[in-house]
Order: sequence, then C-alpha cells, then structure tokens
Amino acid sequence: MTSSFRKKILIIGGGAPPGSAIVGHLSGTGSLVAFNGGCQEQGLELAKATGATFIPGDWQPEDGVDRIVSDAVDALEGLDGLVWAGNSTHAARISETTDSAWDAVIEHNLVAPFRFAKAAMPLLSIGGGIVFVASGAAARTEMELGACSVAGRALLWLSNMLAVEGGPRGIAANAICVGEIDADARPFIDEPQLRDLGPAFVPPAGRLASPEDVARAVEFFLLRNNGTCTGTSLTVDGGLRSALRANKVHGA
Amino acid sequence: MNAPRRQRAFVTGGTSGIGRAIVEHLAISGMNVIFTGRNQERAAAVCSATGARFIAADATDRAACDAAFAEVSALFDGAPDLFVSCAAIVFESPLTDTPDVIFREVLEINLTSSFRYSRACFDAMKVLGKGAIVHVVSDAALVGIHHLPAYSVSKAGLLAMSEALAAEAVMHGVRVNAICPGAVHPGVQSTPKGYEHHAEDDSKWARAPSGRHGNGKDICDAVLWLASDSASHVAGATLRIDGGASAAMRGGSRG
Repeated sequence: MTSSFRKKILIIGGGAPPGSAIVGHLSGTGSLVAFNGGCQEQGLELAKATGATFIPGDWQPEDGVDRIVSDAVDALEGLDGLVWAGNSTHAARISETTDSAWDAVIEHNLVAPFRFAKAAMPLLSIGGGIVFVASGAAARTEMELGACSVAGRALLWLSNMLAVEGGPRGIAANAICVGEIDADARPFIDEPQLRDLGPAFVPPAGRLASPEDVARAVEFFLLRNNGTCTGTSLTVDGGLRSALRANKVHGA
Repeated sequence: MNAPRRQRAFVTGGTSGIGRAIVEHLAISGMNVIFTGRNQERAAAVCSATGARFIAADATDRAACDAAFAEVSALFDGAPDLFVSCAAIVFESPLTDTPDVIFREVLEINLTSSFRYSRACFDAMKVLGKGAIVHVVSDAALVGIHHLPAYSVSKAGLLAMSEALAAEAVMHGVRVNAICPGAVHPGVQSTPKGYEHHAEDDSKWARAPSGRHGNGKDICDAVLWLASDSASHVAGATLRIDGGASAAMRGGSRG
C-alpha cells in the first residue's frame, strides 16, 4: 500500500486507555498515526510498540494545541483524521463540585476538544473526519459524575455543530459515548474524588467494553465512513444505557 | 390571621428578554422578586414597573455573583422558594471562527454562572427541605442551532446540569426542571459585543408552526406551574416551549 492511500490520523489522549488502544488499532490498519498524551517515557514506549509517532507537548498553554497539531501535520505530511480521546473523570455530584474541579472538567473535557477541533479543521483533507471519545454520561446523565455529564453532553453538541461546519468539505464529525471500560488507567481530574463509584455495572452484554471495542468504533468512523455518517453518536457500553435498570440483567 | 407569606423568587438575567418577562409575571402573580443583571438603567425600569428588587451582578464576575447570592439570602432571610436561572448571551459565528476567549465567555455566562447559582440555591433550599429551581435553557439544547454553535454547546451542557442536579436535589425535597423556549419576544438580547436584540430579529427567526413567536407569558406560565404544588412530582423534566418549532424536521422556524 502506498503512503498516499494511508490515512493520516492524529490521536489526542493516546497516553491512556482507550486512547492508547486507538493508537495501536489504527496503526494496525495501516494508517499513519501520530499521537499526543501521557509522559515522554510512555509515549516513546507506545510509539516503539505500534510504529506510531509520538508528539510530545502540553496542550494547556495558549499555543500548545496549535503546536501539537502542526507538529503532527509535519510528521504525517498531512491530516485526514483527528481523534480526541482526552476525557478525564471527576466523581462528584453537582452540589459537591468545587469551582476548581468544575473549571478543570470543563477545560479538559470541553474546551480542549474545541481547541483541537478548531486547530485541525482547516488542515483536514477533504473527506477527513473528527471523532470525539466522550463519556457514557454524555448520552445519559450520571448523578455521581455531575460536571463530567455536563461537559460530555456539551461535547456531543460540539460534535454535531462541527458536522454542520465540516459538511461542505466532506469532513465528518462524530462522537463515541463510552461506558466504563475494562482498563485500570482511567485519568482523573486532579481533585479529591468525592464519590466512590464502586465496581462497574455489568451491562446486558455481560462484559465491559474493552479499549479495543472503542478503537473499532473509531476505525468505523474514520476509515469505513464515506462522510454521510456524520453528526452522530455511537454508544459503546454493552447496552447499559439502553434502558433503565439495565444493570440488573446480571444481578444486583 | 396573618396573610400567607409571599413566595420569594430569585431570577438571574432579569433586566431584559425572557428574564425580564419572568420578573414581571412573577411579580404580577404576587411573588417577592429579586433579580440580577448588568445594566442599571434597564434594571431601574424593571424595578419601577414591577416593585422587584435589583442586585447588580455581571454573570462573568464570580465574586459579584457570590455577593449577589449572599445579599439575596440576607434579604429573604434564607433560601428563595424559587430560583430561575435565565442570564445568557448568544454568539453567532462558526466554531472555527470562535475565539477561545469568546467560547469560554459563553460557557461562563450560560453554563458556569448557572451552575454556581444553582449550587448555592440548592445548598440553601435543602436546609428547608423544599424549593424549586427552573433553568431557562433553549431548544438549542434539544437540537443545536447551526449558526449559534457556541451557544448551542453551552445550552446542551446546561440541560445536562439541570438533569444531574435534579437527580440529587429531589431527594432533599428540591425540584429542579428545565424549560426550552424557542424564539421568544422578548428574547435573548445580549452578545459578547453588548446588547443587540438578537432574538427579536425577525429576519433570523420565522414564526413557529403555531403561527407566532413565543411571548413572556408563555414562558412564565410554565415557570409558575413548575414552581407550584401541581408539579410536586415533576423533577428533571425538560419542557419544550417553542410552538412546535423543534419537534420535527420542516416544522417551522428551526427548519
């Protein structure tokens, strides 16, 4: 396969699952992958294991996002897809959420993907795509994940609005709503977690989704989509949010 | 026998648009109303027309909002019976042309200020074991409005905040609900640039399938119902009040 047919994809949040699985999976499809996220050591290790290019750097400074995106475009010699998988968790009810936790959740889970999408949109090739990996709480609010539910829902709307803006250039924007996944390294907002979520609910499907399941959904949106599938969200949670009390299917 | 105590209502963004209409109608219904806003001149007109009390507080100024809420608590000697969150601005531009600073400002006013006032009101209300909170959201939170993307994003977040708070608040006797108006006369008028009568520009907004725009009474009747005992089992509701505009494709003004 020549490089001109290989999709060039930047993944943000590649340092932890499901982002790291997305890096590995898309690299395995023959795509050219660059990623940002995690520490230098983790990044270089993942790059070595997958053949993807690690783009170091902190997105939080004013020019951080533009620099990461432009470094990736340089490394990939173009850009066909952006995957934002930088979602962080903060377990607190709305009434318990401090200003600093709220600000961090909004900044990490909503403003950051906005900034990355804005930086990537003009650089994406015709027919390219954006995928946001959102929380399951975006689709169905969770009381114990107050601020994350808020930022998540807003992120779905961000995706929908970008689908409208990208449509004329054939750029698709979609979101994946991920329930709890079978992985340990969930990134938390650096605040005391006020609620213990306890063991994950077993969904009707009988097992938690894996990071690989999420990666396959990303593959669908970026590599098997002709652009008509845009402005949508796909829930990957084993059916947990498809009905009230769906967590009771497999007992308490 | 003493006359029954007047119900106490606190309204943000009450100097114009839907917020002003809510202040007026709540006052007409006999409530003791305090409202916030930015503009003294517009506020003075509302005060003289309604007898409501004004506290100046820009929704982007967190210290001013905290001071306003402290003053409300002092004046009401505790929690309001009803909190109506209404302050909002619109910004009309594609996301790719929306400066970060504007995106953050829209979120701060439309979402974060409402979160912070709601958190404070709920804290005070749960001591009493009763109270009602109504978030004035927008039908943009049900289906985004393509030329108002930052606004739509902020309102989607606000609706989720209303739902998440409703779930915990109802256990303490506090009911939280959301209303989603469509185009309303008077409607949202503030933008990052100032005061532009945005929603009242009929070249932007056609009539709803009902044949007309919404009006202040349409909105306030819903607020009064949600605040009343008739709605005692209503929590976490989302009430679309847009003459059917967003109910279906080709339904009217929202296309």
